[in-house]
Amino acid sequence: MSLTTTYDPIPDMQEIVRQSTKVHVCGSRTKSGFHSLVEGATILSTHSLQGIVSYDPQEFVVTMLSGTQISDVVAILAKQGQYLPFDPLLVNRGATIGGTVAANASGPGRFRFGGIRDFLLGVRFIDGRGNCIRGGGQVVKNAAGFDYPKLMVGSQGALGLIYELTFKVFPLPESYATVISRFSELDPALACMHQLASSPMDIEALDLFPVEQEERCYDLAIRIGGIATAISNRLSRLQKIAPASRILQDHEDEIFWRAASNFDWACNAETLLKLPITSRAIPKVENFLTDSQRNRRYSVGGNVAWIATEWTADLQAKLGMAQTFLGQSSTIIRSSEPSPFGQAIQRALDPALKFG
Amino acid sequence: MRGSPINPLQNNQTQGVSQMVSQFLSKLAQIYPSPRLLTHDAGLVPYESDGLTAFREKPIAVVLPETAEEVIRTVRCCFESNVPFVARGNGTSLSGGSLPVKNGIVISMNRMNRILRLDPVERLAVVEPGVINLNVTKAAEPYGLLYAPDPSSQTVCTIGGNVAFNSGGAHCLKYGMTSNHVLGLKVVLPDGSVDQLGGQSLESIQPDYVGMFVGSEGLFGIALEITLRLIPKPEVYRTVMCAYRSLKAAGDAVSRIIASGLLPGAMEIMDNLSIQAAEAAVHPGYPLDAAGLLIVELEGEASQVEAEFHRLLPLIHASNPYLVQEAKDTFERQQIWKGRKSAFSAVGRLSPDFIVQDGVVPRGRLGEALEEIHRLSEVHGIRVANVFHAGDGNLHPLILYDGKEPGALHRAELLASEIIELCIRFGGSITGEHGVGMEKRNYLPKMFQPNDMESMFQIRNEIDPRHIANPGKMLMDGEAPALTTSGLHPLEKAGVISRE
Ligand SMILES: Cc1cc2nc3c(=O)[nH]c(=O)nc-3n(C[C@H](O)[C@H](O)[C@H](O)COP(=O)(O)OP(=O)(O)OC[C@H]3O[C@@H](n4cnc5c(N)ncnc54)[C@H](O)[C@@H]3O)c2cc1C
Repeated sequence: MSLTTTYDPIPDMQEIVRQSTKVHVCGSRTKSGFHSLVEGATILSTHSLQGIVSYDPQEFVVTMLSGTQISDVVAILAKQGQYLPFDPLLVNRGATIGGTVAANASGPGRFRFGGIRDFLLGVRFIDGRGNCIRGGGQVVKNAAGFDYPKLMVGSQGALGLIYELTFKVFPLPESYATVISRFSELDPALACMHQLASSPMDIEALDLFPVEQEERCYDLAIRIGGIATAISNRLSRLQKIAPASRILQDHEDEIFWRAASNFDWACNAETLLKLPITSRAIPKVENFLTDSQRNRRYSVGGNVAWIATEWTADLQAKLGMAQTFLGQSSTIIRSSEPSPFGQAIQRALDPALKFG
Repeated sequence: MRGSPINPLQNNQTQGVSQMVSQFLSKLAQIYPSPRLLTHDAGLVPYESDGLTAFREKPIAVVLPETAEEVIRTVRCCFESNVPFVARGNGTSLSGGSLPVKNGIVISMNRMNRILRLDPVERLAVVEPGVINLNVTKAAEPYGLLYAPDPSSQTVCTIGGNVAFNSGGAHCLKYGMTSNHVLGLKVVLPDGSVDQLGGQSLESIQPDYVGMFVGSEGLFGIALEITLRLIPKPEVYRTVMCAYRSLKAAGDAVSRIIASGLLPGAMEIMDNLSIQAAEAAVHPGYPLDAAGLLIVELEGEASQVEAEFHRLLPLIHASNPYLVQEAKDTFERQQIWKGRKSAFSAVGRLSPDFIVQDGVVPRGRLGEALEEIHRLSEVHGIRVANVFHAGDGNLHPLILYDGKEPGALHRAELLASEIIELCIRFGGSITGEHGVGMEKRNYLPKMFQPNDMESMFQIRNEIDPRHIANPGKMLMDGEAPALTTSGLHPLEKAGVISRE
C-alpha cells in the first residue's frame, strides 16, 4: 500500500509535461468516457503514484497519492470506523482517487453530506508549465488562497495532473437500512421523493429508477444510516411516507448500493451519460426516453440522471448538458460554450493547452 | 508578472489627474442619479474602513447600484478607465477585504437585497448579493428549511461578502463553509464580461468554477446573483454545556467525542476570561469559575439524536467535568448560544482595543496551541481571551491591549503575528474564515511555496489583467495604508452584532 521505494516519479512527470505538446492523464481508466484519444498525446499514468501519505483518524483527515485505488483507501478508513461520505463511484471496478476527483464521480451517498467538492481539502498537481502547485490545506477548515481543490473537481485532466489529494472523512454509520418503495406512476414517486428530501429525516441516499419489465413502474430507494438501535424506529417512520415493497438490511443493503455505484445495471450499454439536473426536469427526461427503452437512474434526490444508451446525436440536442461517462464513443459531449472565467483559468494554468 | 499596471489616477504629479477623475466621474454620472453616486467627503467617510478598523482609505467615489446591469456598466467603466474598484457588502470584513483602494471606487452592493426566488421543492434560493445572511434562513423557515452557514455577523453581513470570503460559522465540521452551499453564480469579471458559473444542480460536469470563485476575496470580480442550497431544519437539538477545571480537560473531552464516532453539529470551547465577559454581558448562566467551558450540540432526526445522546453523556462524564448542564428547552439552548455568540464583543468591552485573530491548527494540537498562546501572552504582558470552534481547530484568540499605552499596539501585533506563525508551524492555516484581505497578505507566502504563489498571480492576471478588482488584497502588490487603531466594529459598539 505505501511506497516501498524512495523513487519519486514527480520530477520525471514534470519533465515529460515540459517536453510534450499534448498530455493525456489516466488512472485505471474505469471512466472510459474520458479517454477519447488525442493524436500525438503523451499518456501519463498515475499508476506509480500509490499510497496513503498520511492519515490521522482523530483529525478526520487523510492524504493520499492520486493513483491510489479507492478500494484500498476504503478498507483503511473502515478499520478506524471512518469513510468517504461522497461515496465514490466504480470503487470495485478499480477507480483511483485522482480519476474520481477529475471526473467528479460522487455516488448516491453524497445525498447526505455532500459530494467530492465538499470533502476535498487540499490538492497538489503539475500544471501545464510543468510546475508543482499546492492549493488548500491539510486541516478541515481553511480559507487561505484560491480554492484549487474545488477547481480540480471535474477538471477531467484538462487543468493538470493531480498527484496528491487531502480529504475530510467522517465516522462511518454503524448500521444501514434501505426502503424500496414501488409506484405505478411517476408523479406520486416524485412527490414522495420531494417530501422525503425536504423532511428532517436524515437520509443517506435517495434514488429513483424505472422497474425492469414493469411498464411505468418506478422504485424509489431510500437509505438511512446511523446507530443500530435507532434504525428500526426510523424505518417505521419512513414507511409512513414511503410504503415499503422491500426492506434491505445488512448485507442485502450493502450489495444493493454497491451495485448502484458500480453501475452494474448499465454495464452492457454502449454509453452511459451523466446529466446534472434538478428533480423538476425528471418528467421531461422521462417523456423523451420511455419509448426508447433506455435504462436510467435518477440519483442523489434527482440531482443527476444516469442514462445508459446507444449513442444518438439527437439525444444530446434534446437533453442539453450531458457528459459521456462510460463508453467507447469518441464523441465526448462538451457542455455549451467555454466560459470566459474557465478560459482565463485554462490560460493561466496551461497556456499551451497541453492538458486542455 | 507581478508588477501592477499603472492606474492613471495614481499618477498625481500631473495636473491632468483631476481632469481624469472628473471625466471618470461624469461617466459614472451617466449610470447613477446623484443620490446614488457619492463623491463628497461626508458621504464617503462611512466607507473608509471595514471591520478591520486599523486601516483607512478614502475612495474617489462610492456608487450604490440597484440592478445587476448598473454593476456591469460600472465595472466596464472602471475597466475602460483603468480605475480600481472594491465591492462592498456591509463592511463587516475583519481582514480589510472591503477597505477602499487608493484612487479607486467602492461599489456598495447592499441595495441589491432581493431574494429573487425561493424554491422549497428544489430546496434552493436565488438571491441578490446584498441580501443579509440571516434573511435567507428567515425566508426559508416557513418551509422547514434553513441556510446552513451562520457567521456570528449573520444579522448584518451579506451573502455577497460571504461568497467573497467563503465565510464560516459554528457548524463547519459537519456542514462546511459558504462554498459548500453555493450552487451557482452570475458574475461580472473585472474586464466587464458576464459569466454564469454552476447552476441549480448539486452535480456538475465542468470544473468547479463556482468553488474557485467563492473565497476569491473580490479579486475575480463581483457576484451579481447567487444560487444557494437550503437544507431541512434539524428535527431536534440536544445541547450540553460542560465546565472543566482546565482548558486541556475540555479539549480532551472533544478528542474523546471525535474518537467515539459521533459527529456533533457544533463543539465550542471558551476560556475563563471569555466566560466571565459573556456572563457579565448577556447572563447566559455560565459557571464563572470554570477554566474551560465546552458546548456540544447534537442535531438531527429525533430517534438518532436520542441514541447519540446516550453515547455522548458517558463520554462527557468520563472526561471529568465538574458540572454538566443540558438545555431543557429552546430557551435554555438559546441562552447557551447567546453567551457563546456574544463572547467576543463581550470580551472586547473589557479592553479599550483588541485584535481578533483567526487561525487553524490540527484539532489534535489544540491543547498545545493554547498552552503556547498562553505562554506568548505572558511573554508580551498582554491578555488573550480564547474562544474557538473546537470541532475544526479554528482558533479565535482575542488580543486585548490599550492603544494609548506606548508600544502596546506594537506588542499586540507582534503577539498576533506569532500566533499566526504558530498556526503555520503546526500545519494549520492562517485563516479559517475571516480571509486574507489586507491583514494577512504577508503571511500567505509563508503558508505557500513560491510556485503556488506564482500560480495564484497568474490566475489573477488572466482574470484581471489590469489589476482593478480589489487590488492589493490577498495577493500583495499594492500600497498598504497606514495602521491606526483596532477594536470593536462600529456596529458592535452599537450592540447590533457580535463576533465569533
Ligand atoms: C462582529 C463580527 C463577527 C463576525 N463573525 C464571523 C464568523 O463567525 N465567521 C466568519 O466567517 N466571519 C465572521 N465575520 C467576518 C465578516 O462578517 C464576514 O467576512 C462577512 O462575510 C463579510 O460580509 P460583508 O457583507 O460585511 O462583506 P464586506 O466586508 O463588505 O466585504 C467582504 C469582502 O467581500 C467582497 N464583496 C462584497 N460583496 C461582493 C460581491 N457581491 N461580489 C464579490 N465580492 C464581494 C468585498 O470586496 C470584500 O473583499 C465577523 C465580523 C464581525 C464584524
